[in-house]
Amino acid sequence: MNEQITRLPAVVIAVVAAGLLSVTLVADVPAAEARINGLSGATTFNFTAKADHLSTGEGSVLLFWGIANGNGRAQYTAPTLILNQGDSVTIALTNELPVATSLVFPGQTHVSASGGTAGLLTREAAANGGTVTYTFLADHPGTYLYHSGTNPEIQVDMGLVGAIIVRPTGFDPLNPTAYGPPDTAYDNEVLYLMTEMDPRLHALVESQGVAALESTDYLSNPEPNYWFLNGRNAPDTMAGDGVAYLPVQPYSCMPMMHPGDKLLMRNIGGGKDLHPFHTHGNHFRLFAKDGRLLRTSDAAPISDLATYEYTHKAIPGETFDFIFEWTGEQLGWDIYGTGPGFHHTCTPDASGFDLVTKEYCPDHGKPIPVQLPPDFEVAIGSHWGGSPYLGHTAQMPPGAAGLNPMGGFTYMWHSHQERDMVNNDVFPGGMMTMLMVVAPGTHIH
Amino acid sequence: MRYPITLRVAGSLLLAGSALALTTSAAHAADFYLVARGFDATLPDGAVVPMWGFAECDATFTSCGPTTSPGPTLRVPPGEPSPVVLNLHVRNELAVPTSAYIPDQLAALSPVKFTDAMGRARVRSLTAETPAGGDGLYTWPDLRPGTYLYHSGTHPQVQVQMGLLGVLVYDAAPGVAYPGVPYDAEALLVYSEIDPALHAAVADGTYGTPAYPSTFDYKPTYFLVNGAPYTPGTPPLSVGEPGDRVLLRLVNAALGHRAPQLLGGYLSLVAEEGHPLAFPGERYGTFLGAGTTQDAIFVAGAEGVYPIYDRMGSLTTNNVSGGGSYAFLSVAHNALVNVTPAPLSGSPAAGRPSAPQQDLTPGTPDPAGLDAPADRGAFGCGAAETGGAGGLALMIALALGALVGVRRRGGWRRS
Amino acid sequence: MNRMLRTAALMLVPALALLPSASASASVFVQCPGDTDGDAIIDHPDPDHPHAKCMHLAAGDGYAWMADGSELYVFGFHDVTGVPPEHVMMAGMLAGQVPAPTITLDEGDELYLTVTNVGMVVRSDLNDPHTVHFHGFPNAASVFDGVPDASLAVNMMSSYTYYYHVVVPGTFMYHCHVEATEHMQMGMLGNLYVRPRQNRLPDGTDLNGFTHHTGNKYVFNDGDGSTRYDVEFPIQLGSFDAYFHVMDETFQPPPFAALHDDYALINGRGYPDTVNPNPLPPSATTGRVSQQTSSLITVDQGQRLLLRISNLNVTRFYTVRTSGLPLLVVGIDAKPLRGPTGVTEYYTTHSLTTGGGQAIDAIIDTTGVPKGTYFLYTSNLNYLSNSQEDFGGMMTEIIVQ
Ligand SMILES: [Cu+2]
Ligand SMILES: [Cu+2]
Repeated sequence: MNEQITRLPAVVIAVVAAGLLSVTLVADVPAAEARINGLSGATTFNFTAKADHLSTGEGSVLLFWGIANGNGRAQYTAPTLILNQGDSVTIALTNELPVATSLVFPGQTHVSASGGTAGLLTREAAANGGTVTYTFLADHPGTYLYHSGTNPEIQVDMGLVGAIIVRPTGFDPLNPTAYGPPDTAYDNEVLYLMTEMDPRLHALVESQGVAALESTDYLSNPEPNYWFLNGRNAPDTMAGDGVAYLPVQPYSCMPMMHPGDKLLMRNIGGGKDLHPFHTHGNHFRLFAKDGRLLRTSDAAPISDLATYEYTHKAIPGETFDFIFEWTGEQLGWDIYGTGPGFHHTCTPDASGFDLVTKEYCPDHGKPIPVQLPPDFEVAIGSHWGGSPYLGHTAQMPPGAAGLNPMGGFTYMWHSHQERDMVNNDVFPGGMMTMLMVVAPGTHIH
Repeated sequence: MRYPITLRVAGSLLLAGSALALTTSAAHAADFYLVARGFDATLPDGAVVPMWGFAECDATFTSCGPTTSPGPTLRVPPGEPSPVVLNLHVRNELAVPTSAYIPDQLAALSPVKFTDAMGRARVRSLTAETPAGGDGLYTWPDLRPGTYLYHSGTHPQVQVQMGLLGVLVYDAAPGVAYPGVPYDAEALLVYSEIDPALHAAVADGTYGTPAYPSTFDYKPTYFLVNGAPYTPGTPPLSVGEPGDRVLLRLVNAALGHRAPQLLGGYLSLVAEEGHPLAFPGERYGTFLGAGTTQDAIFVAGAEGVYPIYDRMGSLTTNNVSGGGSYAFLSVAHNALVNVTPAPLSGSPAAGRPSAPQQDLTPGTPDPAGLDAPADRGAFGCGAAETGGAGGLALMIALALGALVGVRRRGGWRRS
Repeated sequence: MNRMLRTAALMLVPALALLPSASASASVFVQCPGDTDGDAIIDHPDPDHPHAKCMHLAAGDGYAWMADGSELYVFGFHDVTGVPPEHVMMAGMLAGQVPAPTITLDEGDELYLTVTNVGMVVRSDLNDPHTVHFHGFPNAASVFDGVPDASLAVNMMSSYTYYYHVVVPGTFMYHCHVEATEHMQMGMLGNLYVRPRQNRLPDGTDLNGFTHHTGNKYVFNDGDGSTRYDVEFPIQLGSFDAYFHVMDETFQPPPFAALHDDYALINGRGYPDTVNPNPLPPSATTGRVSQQTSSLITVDQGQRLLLRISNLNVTRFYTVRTSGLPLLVVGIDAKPLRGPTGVTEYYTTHSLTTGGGQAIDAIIDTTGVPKGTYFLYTSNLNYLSNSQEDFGGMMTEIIVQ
């Protein structure tokens, strides 16, 4: 789980996700920064590129090349840099890989490289111990990425790619915005760094070295068969940050929110493939691309060229920022249930929503219009809480996984190129996670 | 020192003198003469691949430039009142029918169909065929300004891949790509790719047999920019000075997608498929679907070499890294213009004079003659401009044009 | 809702060894206000649900023709609206349609969509449930979202009724979400679109200077007539991997890692079957017609032609383009292409690149377009093939007459 803390009082405290039981007790907390896990508070980084092995969603092991912060293990994806607008950033890279490597910073316009040797795209650190230093000025807020600039068709697939987040000037963790303008404000944020790996490439590099690729067509005709969100395949995407069984894949990718929350999604095309990223539950508002707001002019007070999509074309190397919201508006039935045991009130504000529950009051008190089949006529999903109503659960027959004890509404967020939803030959997996919308007052951890 | 505008107009009139085919007196016509023929291309790794390409010729097809892929960049002189009629005269020296087709320009088509074994009519040519050994004329009655891909519309899944493709450029006005989109310098980046197995199968007649049944089996291994895979040591494209508005004409003639990514700066996307975009926005990368074109403005803040490379990974040449779809844009004060590497071309046609790398117009100091391509093409306004000399100048211009991927700022903006 | 029927499936299983054995306890169960006999036809409109629409889909398997003359085993939906419940199993079995039956709705409708799982007859070993995912439905509730992990999926011989209060116009799609990679590759995908309230304005209504007339059709409630069209065609891009289908048909595990689609399709057909105006012939295996949807586009010169383009393939992005006809893109993913403050962002192009799950609304104004035949085709030109046969694949024709 991301360390996402809401401004709502914590009530329900147990979260079970993807078979990972994590029970945390949290007292009422003041508002706190909703955040993405990464390296924050620093502007100088000592990175080492080195090899390690990662775990795939179905339990295989792949060689990868990653970035280690300091003397740690390499990680996939590379450390997420969380910077502040105006930071002068220095990254000293030591290369322990058997080939030269480098880093490029698309969208950063004051990049300079020193040391090392000249490469095609930037200066490179030589194999087996070479060093190079990069500096740049993070002068624009937004979502960016960095990745290998040395044979990226190999080294990005091998794992050398990471995210950069630049907080805007005046960033207030209690009232965060992505870029500063009010329409970029959010309650929770989540990173979607989308990548893929061709396991043939990794196996060959491990067994015979990079040069052996030249006698294959793996680079001209890639066959990726692992697809990742933040360096993990489903179902591991839904495990918490830093879980012990994924020592080199620290980053979770499981969003949670309440009705009416604004969820900021930072979407990065980190790999070489296009992916259509589909959000079940609602449209999202796409308001920035490549770290720049979509607006008619720099003077526009908001992103007036934002558009709404239900599936986003994630483009290799590019970044996109979205805001996702969900309220259940106009579903035509009361999402909190009707009748005995479901009593609740709805006091509409000017736009028709209850201030606290975010219920759409015109639907208040309307019963769900159809009967659900009896249990024996259906297959019960692992994230089904037993009730169609938000915040409610019901008794389920033995065998139901019951990964939704809060009675949240669960939505699959995934690449709609469904081929990306497998781990090699095993379905389901890949580029998939679940959004859980939980009832107001339910603590999000 | 650049051409003053008067010289440029004079230059185009001089070239117009070689035009033979002209339309009605009311319309302004641009005529180009293309021959489709085969050639063997030698790729940087030494592989020799049978290709088909276009060469540009004079109006009688007696002298032609080199056969290349991409074919000659056809530049329709800007600034004439609309409608401007485009005539592409095609001579087919291939053994199969072919055609010229511009997917982003509207014209009535005369598709050619055949009846298959199941009795169904199906198209084999999106537009009228020029038979093997024959001549054809393709006309677009009202040309829109912009950057366009032209290619064969006949069995396109094979003929485009074989190399029958090129770029058409028609600016709204001199130095103005689209209304409201001026530029100081430009670079043309044409992406294409080659599956040598397909080419070999077409060449030896086994295409369509179990040896290579169809493009279902298509697997490109060479990824080209302006007709050549990147090779180390290739000089960057010189695109002007810091602060210049550099127009990048991005053309994807490949069957696969590309995602050109610029390092060190941002682009504004000013047009897609020849249609100006109201909101260019800012981005450092763009997505270029198969067979599509975009125009982007790049303004470099400082001198330097700016890489633009395919983020989708077509960065190999016959599976060797460090090649493929890399390009580099050089921005420097007092930049001299570089010539891009020649596109894939074969031996010159017999009897064709070689093209001297020299000034086209007396008195012009442009070191590489690079302003010349803007004036290429036989252009006539009304019947009064038929006839005249200028064939040699045209021929030289054609030959030069085939070599040029980058054009220096318009002289009409500075003198 | 008190008139809803719960009818036991009283199928007489014919002497076809193919058929799965019936479960005595399950049932076909249509929920439709105003339907008195369980066939999903509203017999007496329910005054509490004046905008109710009902549809009954059978989910099962079948066969579909590829344009090179081969037949592929598919999973699919079949429209059994109007079929008495006792006949639904027989009507739905081996009748899966490619693409799934088109669902057309009006903004404000209440859709009661019943899905009955009639089983996969050929795959008698498979007990897969099915769902409907109304792809793009705004503010969806998970109970009607069709994701099996997050809700319930209906088992063989049983029915599940989805309820949708339809308040957003535009181009959507629907598909089964069970074993999504497999069931979608196998064909359980369809077109779904919602016509806007603006179509029903009184004659003469002023829309910011544009005068609405009865019969005018719009893509969205645009407020200015800018999305008006005369004729519309659903263009669902898709593709199949024959090897995957054969493996599924022959009881092999689905070969996910080897997925490589070799039939590129529009509305479930490859060219030239795309331009066949009629349903394709009955399956050689089952004798049932499964491909109803032509993509031959005919338009009178001067008309505005709406293409509702959706992509439901599961393996790659396709670029589709017109031969010269300009596409005015007015909507993406069932939203008008307008910013939050109303800035119109329509743009003109000739090509659209989409991946699975994306939709685009584009209008071709044929004013001044010479009469004749034009093409809508993929410029990933290598997919102009029906497997190993050229001159096919993802292409159709636009006839301006
Ligand atoms: Cu299904
Ligand atoms: Cu979907």
